[in-house]
Amino acid sequence: MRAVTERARRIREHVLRMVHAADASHVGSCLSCVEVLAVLYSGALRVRPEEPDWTERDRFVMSKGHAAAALYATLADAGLFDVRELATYGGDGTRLVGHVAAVVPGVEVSTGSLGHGLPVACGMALAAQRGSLAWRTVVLASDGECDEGSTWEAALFAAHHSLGNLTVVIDANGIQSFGRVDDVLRLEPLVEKWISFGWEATEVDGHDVAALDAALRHVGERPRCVIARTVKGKGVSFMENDLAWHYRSPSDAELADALAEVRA
Amino acid sequence: MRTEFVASLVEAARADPSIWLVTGDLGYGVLEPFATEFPERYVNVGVAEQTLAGVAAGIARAGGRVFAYSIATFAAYRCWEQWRNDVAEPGLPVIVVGVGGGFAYGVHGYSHHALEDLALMRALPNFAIVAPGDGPEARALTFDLARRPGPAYLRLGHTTGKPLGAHREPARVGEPRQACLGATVSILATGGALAPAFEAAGLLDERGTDAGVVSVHTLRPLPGTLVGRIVRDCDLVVSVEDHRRTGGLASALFEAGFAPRAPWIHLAAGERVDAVGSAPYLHAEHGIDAVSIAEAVVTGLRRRAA
Repeated sequence: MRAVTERARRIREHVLRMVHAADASHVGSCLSCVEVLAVLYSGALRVRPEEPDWTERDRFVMSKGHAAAALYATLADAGLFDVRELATYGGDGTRLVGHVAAVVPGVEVSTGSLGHGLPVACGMALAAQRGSLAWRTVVLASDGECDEGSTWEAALFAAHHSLGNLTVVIDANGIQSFGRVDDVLRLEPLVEKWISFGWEATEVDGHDVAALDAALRHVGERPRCVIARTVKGKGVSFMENDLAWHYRSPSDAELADALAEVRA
Repeated sequence: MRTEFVASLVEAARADPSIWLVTGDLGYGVLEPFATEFPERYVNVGVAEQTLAGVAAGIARAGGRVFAYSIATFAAYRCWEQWRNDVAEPGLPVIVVGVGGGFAYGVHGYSHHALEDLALMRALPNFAIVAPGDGPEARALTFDLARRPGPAYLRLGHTTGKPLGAHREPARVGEPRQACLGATVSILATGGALAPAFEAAGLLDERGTDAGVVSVHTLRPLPGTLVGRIVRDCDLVVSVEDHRRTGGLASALFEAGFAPRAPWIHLAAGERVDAVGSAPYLHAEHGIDAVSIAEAVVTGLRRRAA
């Protein structure tokens, strides 16, 4: 687990530098899902970095596409492409586009509009089930994304078809893009909702790598929802739990302070 | 026309094990032949068009060639963003099948009238756009689409699909069909407007006016210069569509560089939303029935002679 924690630290550093250099938004959204991504790419997902198109790979769909910097940092750190390319994030002509882009090695589906990833993942999981293929499909969605009706259409579908090869992780950091989830459109009781839709659902501390690892390796007869209780902006004290960091990019001084905290 | 579609799809699916059919809870009395023969490649997603699109895209990513079926208004409108982001951008082999283009679902009312679908789907990158005008076209074009790479929108009518005009060879995507020859007037029609166009040609023939009909079943790819060659020697060109003026057949022809020397009259459904009735009644109300087409030709020729 120490290696995973180290990976998470490296991802955080990359994200902070990338977002700063590109003057980009969404750093808070990136920081909340770092542990989830670190755990996925430390063995919970069966992938081969040297063979991104390995036919039997597990498929990962990053439905919360605005946290692209976190995914790119994770993929580069895992060896899918050169870490130095991260410096091109958000620049002209880059392939590291501001929302998750499938042109990047290791990325399955381009996302950016919320509520698309899970339905597509359902189609992939259904095809795998019908074809008796062993690979799993894992989706990372945001809590705000659960506002989209397409999320619940897909939830009904996955349960009805017993897609036990499908796992959804919800990065539940409690803040969406114009307010707290509780204030905009209350989702609680969220675990119970997924269970009532026919899923296995559980909640974990989204920054506890051991708990995440256990939750993500479990496979059953029914689709599985892991609600990762996270903190928006996690890892940088002045960014934590603050809506502003959905949008703000760190200044030079803020970047230095943030990196100092992450490295400590 | 739906019967021709599913018969063709079943035939294609026997030869190609990657073909799937996904429906949004529609197709009663139509899709059963596919569902019973290929249950492992068939799924009804329920009344959930966003799921229809997403699941179709996901199956395509896993190697399928997917036909996604619903009523045209629901198929084209309800999940347009999903077709745009999840199918068009990656260029996946998903054929969106919209049943009841134009006024085919007449008495069901405005919610079921697909008058903007060609415009919307045509605006998507990479999508072929096909609106067969009769049964043999539906059959042949379904078969052709099943083998072509990339996404497509297939707009089916609700009619009997009886053959209209000459079918010298099976219809191919992107190749307009000269349904009947005519030297004086060329009537270009797509989808559900082919039948009234054909009927109009008959009315004109009785009056001694030599009218030809070209079925422009494919709006993308659309060979504008080829159509231009077909109508080159005519005194008048009329295009007719069971679709709003915006973004349909006439727009597609114009964008494809179709610029006939002869005057070109565009007939299309009007902007009114109130008329309800059978398709033939609605065609008359909107000025795209056989009588309206023939009248437009007569007026057009008279003006030209003046």
